[in-house]
Amino acid sequence: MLAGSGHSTALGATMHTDTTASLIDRLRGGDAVALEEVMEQFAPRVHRLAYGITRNQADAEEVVQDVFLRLFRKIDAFEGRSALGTWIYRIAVNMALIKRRGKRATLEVLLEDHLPTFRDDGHREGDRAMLLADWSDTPEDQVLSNETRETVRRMIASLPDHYRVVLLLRDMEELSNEETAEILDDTVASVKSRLHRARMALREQLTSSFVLGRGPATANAAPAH
Amino acid sequence: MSHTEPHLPGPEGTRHERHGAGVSHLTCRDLIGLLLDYLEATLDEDSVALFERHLADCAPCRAYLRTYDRSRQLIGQVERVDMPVEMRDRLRDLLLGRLDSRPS
Repeated sequence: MLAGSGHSTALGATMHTDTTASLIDRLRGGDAVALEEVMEQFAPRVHRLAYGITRNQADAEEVVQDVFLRLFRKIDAFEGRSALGTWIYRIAVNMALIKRRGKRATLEVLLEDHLPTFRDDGHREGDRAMLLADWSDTPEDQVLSNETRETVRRMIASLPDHYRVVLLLRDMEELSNEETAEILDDTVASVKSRLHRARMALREQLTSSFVLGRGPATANAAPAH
Repeated sequence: MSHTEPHLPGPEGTRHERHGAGVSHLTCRDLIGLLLDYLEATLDEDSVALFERHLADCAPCRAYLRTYDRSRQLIGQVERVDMPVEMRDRLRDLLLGRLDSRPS
């Protein structure tokens, strides 16, 4: 039985410990070592998130540089009302979304087209192969084939921004619902709703891909355990 | 969980009917609506019992749960892109340069 995938995050722990006054004070004092510490801790995450949103390395690099230059300029005004990590992620999301706007090459998917549908009696609609398709045990090297990776990337890239950002913060950055809500200045309920819908849409596309034989394994339609 | 024949939606759906004021059975729609909370272990005990009772009888929902959870994992595995070393070096040079040029 699958359970307990919820988490209070390892990243979350660092997001809160890094608000220590000493690190902030050292940054304010122009301490190069403190700057390197913050860079080491956050630059890879900011880059990953920025790339996830913009899908472009040059744009991601500009976002990373802008985020740290802004941190550098604004550190005196940082009041510590939120954790430093939350503050950095929030700036990164906003800057990356600005970069993405006006450059969208991918047609956004209509999420409703990829959500499960139900009959009046509450049963899921669909053909037998799709309903019973269970590709979750497909070996790692097969499930991570280039084709599957491409399906996942294409699907994530085609999500509307406010779904994609939630998916990246939760499932890639492994932040909690609460941290994600704080970064996006949104409610936890809204974050959870968008996360669930985005995951369902991705699951549907992956399953279609596997059932139609384009994925690494034709779906295993044996009864589940 | 016992091995059972796959339970496909029947025309009547009687297996999932609700009874009385309380809920004694979940439908597939209910279960999928609770999936995220179940995986995050934030459901109350009664809801977990209902959830798992439905799951034990419903092969499509078991498949849904497992593939949903695997999809979630795949996002982290596929989307994690390492920051290129040269990009990191450029960032370091830029920031340390700004630091050096700050008035003391």
